[in-house]
Amino acid sequence: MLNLLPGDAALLAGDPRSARNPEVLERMRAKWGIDKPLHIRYVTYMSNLLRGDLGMSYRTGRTVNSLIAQSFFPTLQIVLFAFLLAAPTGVFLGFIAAVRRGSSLDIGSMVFSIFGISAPRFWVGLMLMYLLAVNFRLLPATGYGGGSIRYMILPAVTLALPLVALLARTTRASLLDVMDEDYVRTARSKGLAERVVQTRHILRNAVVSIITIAGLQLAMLMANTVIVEKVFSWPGMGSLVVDSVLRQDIPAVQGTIFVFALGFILINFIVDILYVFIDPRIKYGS
Amino acid sequence: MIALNKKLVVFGLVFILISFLVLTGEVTAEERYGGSLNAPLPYGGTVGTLEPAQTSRIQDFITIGQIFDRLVRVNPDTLEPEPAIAESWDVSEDGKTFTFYLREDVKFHNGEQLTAHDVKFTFERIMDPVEASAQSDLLENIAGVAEFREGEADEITGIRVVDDFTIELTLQTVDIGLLLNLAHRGASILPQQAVEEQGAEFFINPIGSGPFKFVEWIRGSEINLEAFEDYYEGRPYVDELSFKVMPEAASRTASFRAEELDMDIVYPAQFQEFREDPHYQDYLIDVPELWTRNIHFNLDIVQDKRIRQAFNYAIDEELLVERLLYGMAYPAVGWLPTTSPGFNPDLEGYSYNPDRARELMEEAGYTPDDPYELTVIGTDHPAWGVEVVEAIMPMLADVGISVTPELVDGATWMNRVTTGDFEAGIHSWGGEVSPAMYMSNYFWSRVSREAGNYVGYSNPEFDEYIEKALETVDFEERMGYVREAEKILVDDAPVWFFNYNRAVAIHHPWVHGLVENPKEMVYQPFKDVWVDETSPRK
Repeated sequence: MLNLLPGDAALLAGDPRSARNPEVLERMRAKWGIDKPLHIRYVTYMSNLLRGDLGMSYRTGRTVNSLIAQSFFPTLQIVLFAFLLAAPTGVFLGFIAAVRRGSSLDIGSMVFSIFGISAPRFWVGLMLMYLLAVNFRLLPATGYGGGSIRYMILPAVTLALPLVALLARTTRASLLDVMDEDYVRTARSKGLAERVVQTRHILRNAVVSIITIAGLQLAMLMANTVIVEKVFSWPGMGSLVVDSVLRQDIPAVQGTIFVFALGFILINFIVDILYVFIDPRIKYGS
Repeated sequence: MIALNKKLVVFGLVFILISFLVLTGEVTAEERYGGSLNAPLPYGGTVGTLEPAQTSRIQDFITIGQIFDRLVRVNPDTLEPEPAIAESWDVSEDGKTFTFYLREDVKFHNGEQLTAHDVKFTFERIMDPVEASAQSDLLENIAGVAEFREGEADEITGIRVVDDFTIELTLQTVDIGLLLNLAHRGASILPQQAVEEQGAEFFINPIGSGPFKFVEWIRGSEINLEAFEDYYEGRPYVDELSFKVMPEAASRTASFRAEELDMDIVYPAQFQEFREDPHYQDYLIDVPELWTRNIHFNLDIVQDKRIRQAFNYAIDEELLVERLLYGMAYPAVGWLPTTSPGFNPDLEGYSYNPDRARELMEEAGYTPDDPYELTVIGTDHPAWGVEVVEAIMPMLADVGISVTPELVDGATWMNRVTTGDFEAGIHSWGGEVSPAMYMSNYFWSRVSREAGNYVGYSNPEFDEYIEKALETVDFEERMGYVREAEKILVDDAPVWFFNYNRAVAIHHPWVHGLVENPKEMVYQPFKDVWVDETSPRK
């Protein structure tokens, strides 16, 4: 699709000055193979892809594989870190809100989660930056710092916030659903302790929908790195894809999106497998 | 009385002591070696490549300029070429042969000596058709390039190694731009041996002869360099130079305020803030950059000169600059910015004169009730995008021009102006040091529409002056032709002359030696920049 967009990678690559010389542009187009018709480029691309070769990036002189290899780990780092922060916090908040329904704790955590869902990520990132890095100088504002935890905290928290909020709401809603079920009443009437009812009966039954949302959102986290990495100068795939789009470096864009898509599929697959372990009612095959 | 006098004496002594300390403090504030400097790479995205001839992005050139060096460079004050690797040069009488005498003490970071062979190798690599270099047009005018490119010759005949430290370049035609082309960062000299051994891998871990050595590159985040002890002009003051990739102005400001960045490029929103902040207002430096913001008319469509002149008269540029751009621009008079060597202080442009504009429009047959309709395409850039068009609409409506803004992305703008598919557009053009080229690039009739003459301007009188300017070696005479050409251009008004960019940088008090570079504010001579003991990274 990108190939059909207006604009020309060669024109963007050249100075306005070198654009005065159409031959320079022609040579660049020939080198990158974009002088050939679209269907031929597609066939070449697919046959390379099947061999695991994502092609040569126009603007960096590097293979797309090596660009992705460099930026994959930093993205994985903040995505996982954000997820590990968000999942327990979100579920905990939702749980508290559900069991203390109507209390100020419930209202407080739901107000927080509405804020978390609706606040734009770059704004949250900047506010955290001003508060913790500029005013209190507790954490570095931006940068990679060799991937150390100190540098990871701000981008990961920014990334995690909407997920915490969403998980809190989902957890609360599904817990409230389950709470009205007959088996919960049965458990209570059996005289089980309230703690046991809450964890063994209510939470356990609500967990399937929580896992589904968490899985979907883990995939969304990857997509959200696009904004967060830019704001915090984090060297990951999000930065790579933005830079490549701006420069119409088509092979690099395609390669990164391809890897993101693989990630999506992989996470959904893992979630499906997890169901089997968590809910004995779900079985695949006959 | 006595007690009071004693107090006065003590006070006096303390005062003298303090002023002595302050004064000597200032006097002894000498250049200091050591420490590190963190500077931003502020322009859109990460560094693409460190291969000098394969990029056209300022972002990449900022770093390339520290690692590599060129035969000559441009002095930021005079904008004239000055010696770098070449300590001097001769020009033959016909103006076509340049002989460069190289310094004999230039070393690459691996300890190898830089010789004329490296220069020849570099230039032939740039012109090699297999490389398809983005910067190959820098050397296009050297004799023998065509034969070399067609494979008819193994080397470029116009590049001759006289001895290890003398190289001769022969041109096809007289070209006032050659020295400026050689000063371009795209023409940085590479070490032949290392590049031949490593091929494309060389540029992942490049070796140059510039003031800083490459250390590491974290793609999308930072590039770290360290001082090169054997640099031929003496080692840089700072031990380490780190470039942080920071396209977001707001993150940069936060990082600067957190003292992680030592300097920053300031955008209008931040400019207002810093200008009023007593802590920072003394550490702003600014310069009119060589960029002319304009609305360019497609002359096939806006054929009537009176309409274009009326457009120029109708708008109060000073008001726009103050209110819309927060003072971050200088209203334009003609095409050449005030820092251009060809700037003409006597040039009369178009003052704000709505009455004159209405008269012109009436002569052309339009009134505010029956206006001339014009669509202007532009990007979302705050200083030269559709926002500006929206701001000028009422002023133009008053004189009988009805403007419709159309928002497009940068690639679409480029596509439409190069194919002539537009009525008018708004953009920022320039960046060229040579005044003659600053004009010929966009308005010379021999330049095609695709190549830069987007408006389709053609005026034989203008062409005559600009061609003379391009062929004249003598500086004063050349500027005379440039001024004549600009007068004609301003009268024809193929564009609305809006403003020249006011580039603003800010730094912390411990940073010294930054300069006001009109070519590009972030092209700082980082080797001459030093930090004092108050730096957190001393």
